Amino acid sequence: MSENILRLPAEKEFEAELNAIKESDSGKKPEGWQMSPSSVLTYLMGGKLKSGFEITPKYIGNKRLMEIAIATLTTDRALLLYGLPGTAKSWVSEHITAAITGDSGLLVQGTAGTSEEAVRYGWNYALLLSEGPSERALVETPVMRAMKHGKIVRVEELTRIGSDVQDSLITILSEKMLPVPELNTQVQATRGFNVIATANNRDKGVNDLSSALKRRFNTVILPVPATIEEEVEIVRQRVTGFLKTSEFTPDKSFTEEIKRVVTIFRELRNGVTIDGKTKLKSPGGTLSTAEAISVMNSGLALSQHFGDGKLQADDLASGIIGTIVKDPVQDKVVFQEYMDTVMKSRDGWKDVYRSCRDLI
Amino acid sequence: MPVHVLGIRHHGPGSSRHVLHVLEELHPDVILVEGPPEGDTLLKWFSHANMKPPVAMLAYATDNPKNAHFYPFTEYSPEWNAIRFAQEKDIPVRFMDLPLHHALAGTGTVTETVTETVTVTVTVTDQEIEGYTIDDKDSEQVKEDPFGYLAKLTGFDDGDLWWEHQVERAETALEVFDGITEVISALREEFPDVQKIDALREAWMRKILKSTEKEGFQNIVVVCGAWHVPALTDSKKFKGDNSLLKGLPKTKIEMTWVPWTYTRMSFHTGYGAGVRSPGWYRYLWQMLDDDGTYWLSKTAAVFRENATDVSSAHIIESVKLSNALAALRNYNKPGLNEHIESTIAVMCMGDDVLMKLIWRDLIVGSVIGEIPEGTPQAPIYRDFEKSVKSLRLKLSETPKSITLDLRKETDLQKSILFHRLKILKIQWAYEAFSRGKGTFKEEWTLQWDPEMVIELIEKAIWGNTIELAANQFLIHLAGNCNSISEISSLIEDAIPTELTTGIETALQRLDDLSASSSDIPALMAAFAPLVRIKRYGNVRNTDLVMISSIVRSVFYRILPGLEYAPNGINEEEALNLTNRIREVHDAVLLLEEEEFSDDWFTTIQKVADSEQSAPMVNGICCKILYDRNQFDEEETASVFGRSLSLANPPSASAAWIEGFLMDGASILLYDDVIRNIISRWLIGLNDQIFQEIIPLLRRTVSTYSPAEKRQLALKLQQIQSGVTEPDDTRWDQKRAQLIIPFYASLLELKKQNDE
Repeated sequence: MSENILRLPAEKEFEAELNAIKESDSGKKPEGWQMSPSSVLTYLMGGKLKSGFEITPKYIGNKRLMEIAIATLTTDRALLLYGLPGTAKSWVSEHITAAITGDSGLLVQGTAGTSEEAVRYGWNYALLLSEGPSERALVETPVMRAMKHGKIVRVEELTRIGSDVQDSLITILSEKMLPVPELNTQVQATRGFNVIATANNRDKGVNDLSSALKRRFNTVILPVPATIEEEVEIVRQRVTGFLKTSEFTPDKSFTEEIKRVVTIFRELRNGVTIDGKTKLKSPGGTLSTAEAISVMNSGLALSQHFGDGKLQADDLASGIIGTIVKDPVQDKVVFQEYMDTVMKSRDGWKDVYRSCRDLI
Repeated sequence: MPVHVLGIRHHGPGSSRHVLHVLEELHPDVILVEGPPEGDTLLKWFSHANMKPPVAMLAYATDNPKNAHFYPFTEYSPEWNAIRFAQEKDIPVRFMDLPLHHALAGTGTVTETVTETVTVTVTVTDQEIEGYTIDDKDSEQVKEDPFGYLAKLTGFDDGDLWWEHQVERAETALEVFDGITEVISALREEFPDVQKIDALREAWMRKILKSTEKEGFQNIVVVCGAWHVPALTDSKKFKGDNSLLKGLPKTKIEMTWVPWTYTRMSFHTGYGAGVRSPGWYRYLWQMLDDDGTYWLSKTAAVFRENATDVSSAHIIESVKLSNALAALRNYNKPGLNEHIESTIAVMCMGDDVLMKLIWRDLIVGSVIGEIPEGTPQAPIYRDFEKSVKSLRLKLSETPKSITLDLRKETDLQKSILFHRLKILKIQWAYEAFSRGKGTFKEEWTLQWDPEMVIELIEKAIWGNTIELAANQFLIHLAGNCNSISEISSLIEDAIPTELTTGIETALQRLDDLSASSSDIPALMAAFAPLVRIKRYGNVRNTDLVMISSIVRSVFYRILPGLEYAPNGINEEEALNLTNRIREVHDAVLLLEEEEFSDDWFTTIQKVADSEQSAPMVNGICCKILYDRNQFDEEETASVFGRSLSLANPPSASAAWIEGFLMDGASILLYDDVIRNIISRWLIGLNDQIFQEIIPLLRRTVSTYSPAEKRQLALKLQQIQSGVTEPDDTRWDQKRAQLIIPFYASLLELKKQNDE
């Protein structure tokens, strides 16, 4: 049956690895954990077990960040993973949960419409009407279930949830209990319970965390890819995936185009040129890896449907400008400055410079 | 006859503690410390009550103070503590390193560039000393940090961390040194290559050790860098030392004390001093038993001082996380990295920007040492005295004015010296009044104050000569500038100092700041002086290519912002911006580069076309275009008509006129069309409005020269009296002809007439 499932949860997909780690684990396990903290680290970062079993790395990047994340969960603080889109926040949260509790399915998806009933508890209204408030009429949320069974509950996109609903987490995180006044009772969290939340730190229009709630989280910021090579590789892989459905065949200049787009994005995002010589202003947008991917995709679509099938600077320019210039005044100045101080004088960039110049 | 060799890590607080324990236990009858034997004369100052570390022993070649060597000590330096221990217990103590009159003589070929001279001056860890070698190839090998290698073997991130956990953090004493000896011996077997300077130094150490034994001391303790331990304990090595030490070059050296700072101790200043975190080490020295609570409380205090709220709950959680991290990494105690990480995760919401504060105030720390009165003089002071003498100046407490003619070489040198002192903030000479551009004269007033000696010696940490110190200090100041106006005034001060690298750093800083600034008028103010340097090569040695690129980048940062700069600003800002536009305009003309002027006029056109620009700015832009003949007569009339239309508020029209007419009266004198438009507009105003705007117009006219004003008044009088053009009939032909021969002779036309 599982063959039909589009995507297996982490604990199923990597069941063999988890079992192997559990077998060879000799470290001390915190209560409610199925393996020791250092084994969780091995599961995330990959490595070879004593038994010779090879563990694939789940997170490629700074090991210290994963150590902070795991150490946080051994204290009774909740963990907040912060970062741009496409920095593997949800991926990390799913795998940590899978490694620690073996159940990554307790999940609250944060949206602007997430209500308090989705965080604390809801009611089965038919039963509520016929029987009045009772245990049977109570609808448990993943949070409540995690508390009862000492598991980790994941909250995705925490900052998208309205502030009042976010704050209902405060009691749960500090008192470790969830009062149910209708039944004059409360649910006490058992050992092992914790919360991993993920949030986007540069997205506009989100609800910033109240300081009371902030204080209950340890924050780990997952950074964008550290090197340009890493980022170009990520974009290339994802865009080639998109290409499988079209007739475009990537050539060498295609990788060069990716490199240029990624270079523009990285330079503006970091506020400094790749060679570190010129400082730049940064525009208001996030300029994430995910956006670079979509610029490439739309550029390819343009070239195929409206161009000569070859990817040209013209095809990318509109995407680049559309992504960078979000504010018609401020961002435009930033990008014009970038064009004149950096793009204009760079070897082999004449075509992009001209295409952008024509559009802005 | 036991000899105990204690291998330490310079500035390691743990080493210090272990050394003291062992000294207590062994009661040696003599202590030998790694350091130059010339320093023996300075030993008495170690226990002086007014000696407050960090301080440094400074040794320099008498004939060339740039060839110098610092030996910094902190309160937790093992050498410092060993010497103080000896003096307290009346145990003889001596330095045992290769004498500096040999060591400094060997490095006579030190390159003259400032940074490199600075790098070779500091002795902190052995790696750094080895960087002091004569042979380039040798020094390259040594730069491979041996402790970094050990760290890699044992799974630590770097050599520092390895030391901290293996040695510095261990709490038992004597065995520690045996362990170190063992490890370093193994390491040196693995890497048997010894640098020449190291071989010499170790040979000398052995020589002193031997002679000390011969003197009959029974219980000798040697305190030296761990790397040297095997060389001093292995008796096989003692052979051949004498021949090695024969015929070493010699030079005369002097030694003195200088106050030192924690910032100098750290890596951050580029001094390669070897201790990344002097503040953290001081904490380790003072608070061995702390589990991080004290450190993290201090961290919180720093945040609070800088207006960032941090609660006690934050501290509690940070301590917990630090300890959890240490447990996960199998350390017995959290170290600096764990504390930094927990601070970021708990107190800073994952963002490490605020950690800069902690690095500056806590991990490095801002401690400055003090030296007692009566210590020998520092070379920077000597250099100053030398310059003063050679320029035939006198130090006097009564003010004295002098006038310099910069075309004369000595006067120019004086001016350079004064400007450098000004950069160093030593107010011996100050400019009596500001001079006009392009003059060769400078007026200075000299007044000496004995306190300036201290100020000068304080600057010794920046360099051993006025030039070096001013240059380093300029680099430091440039790094601290945070606004365009600050850095441009610094650059203006710096240009007459002829401090090449300092000026380059300041220019680079200007470039950096201009990137992040949106203060267009400030950027524009910085532009004109830069252009002058570029055009006239004002700074003799400054790299013109670099200036060109900065001129370019500043210019292209001005342009896009200038389009929007005149929108929604008040009158004062408009006046400022107008003046800036004139300056930049002049500078652009001065540059005579087509690319710049084309882009400049395009932008000016945009501002002139914009409905939203402040009227005065709009006026100056129209004037610039008018001067460039971009407007023909008809268009000028239409621009004027539009700007002075009665539909505009009169004050706006007046401001516009001010912008347009700011430069001179010639338009009013010679362009009838424009003058008529203005006249008509003025006459059309009612009394009340006229009174309101008359001060604005008055301000415009007041900038004209008396001659222009007179001409203008005459012209207007003529118009009013109905005389539009001077009439030919009023000429007295005869009288006029009389002056023709005179003009002809003036123009030397006579001959031609004769012919």
